[in-house]
Amino acid sequence: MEENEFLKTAKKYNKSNEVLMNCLLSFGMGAIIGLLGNFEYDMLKRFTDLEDQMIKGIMSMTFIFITFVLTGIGVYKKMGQIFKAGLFIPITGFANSMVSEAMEFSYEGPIFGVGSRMFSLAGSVITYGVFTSFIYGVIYYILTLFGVRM
Amino acid sequence: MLHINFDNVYVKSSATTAGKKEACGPLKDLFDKVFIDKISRKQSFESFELMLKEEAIDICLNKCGMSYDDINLFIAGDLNNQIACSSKTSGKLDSSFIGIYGACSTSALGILTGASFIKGNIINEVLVSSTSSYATSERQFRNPIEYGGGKRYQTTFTVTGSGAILLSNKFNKIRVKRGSIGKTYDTNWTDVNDLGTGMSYAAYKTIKEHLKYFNLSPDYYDAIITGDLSTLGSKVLLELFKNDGIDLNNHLDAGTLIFDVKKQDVFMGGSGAACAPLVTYSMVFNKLKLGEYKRVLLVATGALFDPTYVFQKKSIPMIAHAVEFERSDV
Repeated sequence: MEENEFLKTAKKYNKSNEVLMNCLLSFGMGAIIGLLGNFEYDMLKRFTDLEDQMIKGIMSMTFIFITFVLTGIGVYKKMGQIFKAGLFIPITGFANSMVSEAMEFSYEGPIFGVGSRMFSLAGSVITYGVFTSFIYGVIYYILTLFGVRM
Repeated sequence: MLHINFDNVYVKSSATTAGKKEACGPLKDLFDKVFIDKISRKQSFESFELMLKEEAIDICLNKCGMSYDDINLFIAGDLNNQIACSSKTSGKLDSSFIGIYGACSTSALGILTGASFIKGNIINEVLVSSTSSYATSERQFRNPIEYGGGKRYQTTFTVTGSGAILLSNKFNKIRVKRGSIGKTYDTNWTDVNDLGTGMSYAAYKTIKEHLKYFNLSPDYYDAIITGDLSTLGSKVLLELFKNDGIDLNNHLDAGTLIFDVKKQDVFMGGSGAACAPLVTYSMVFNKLKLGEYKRVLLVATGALFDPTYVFQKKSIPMIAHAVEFERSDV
């Protein structure tokens, strides 16, 4: 009986007014990253002779590199606290999780420390990335049997 | 709940060491030693925590002119796996060792255990120590430090520091008068981001049963200090007492005393095994010695959770232990 009363009281105080603000900040930050990425893409397209695939790769790598540096100097954490999903949904979040793990476990040596722990947060992205591409492949194969070509 | 009356347990000496963030907080001048330099790349977070603990023990023993050899029983705990920091430190002391784990309530649990040994005339002096560090407990319970996923606003910030206290059966200024060894309350609480609120129920029950058993009113104490309920948990605790018709106006929370919650970017306040001892052994003991307080009740709260259990959607049991400190001349 008392426990229910407590849970009720706890619920009363635990009211977050931050949802809307978080959504707006995240959306804004995500948009800025998208815009910057597209800007880089357009510039490379206009001023270089690189292939489309190559340009996309370079674009991702730029953001990964920037995240590496920001995580290393401790700035990313502070930005992440403000922009949350706006920063971890793009590839920046993936890069950050790997760098932060590597830094954390660097004391435990290159094999069991950095090597094996690096993917403990990022691992699920890879697992489900591979898994969904497998599903995608199966669907694509079945469609080709019916003469669909993409 | 087990309630104990101690009649011959005194605080012989105590010491605190703290990290940089605590050294910028409101209690900065009261800690015995603060480590404000950036830790070198060679030193791991674990080594730093060990240093904090050893330093606190050294200072505590130096204050009363004792050495490692004079200690016969050492009780310690921290937040690492297998209480590694305490176990490692115990290797340096030439004494029997009891490793305890009470999460953030470790300090009070240690004092109660040690005091019981003295009360039973088994031993004359007991050294109790509890330690926590932001960096190691983030790794233990949450994510890597530089992970930028963002935290919920209800979370607390683990205190980096260590508190050591030497209990003795020889008369001294402050004594440990009463204590209640807490029960574990499992209220189906599963929110790891808001442990302060979760623990407030355990604190509420412990305080209530402690007062009931010894037939006291809350006003009997100059201050009732909870361990780390944070701003949110304190509100819930006060509301729970209010529902019973009791106004707990002498309540303080160590988690909100150790940091300047508004300015220091610590979410809802401090937490961790070092939170309660750092506030108690510095500010509270000072006030007791100066006569500003006559007696205080320390209610150290702990969330006994393990990340694996939480991932398996098991609820978090909470505990709170109460210790009463009193001026010996009262």
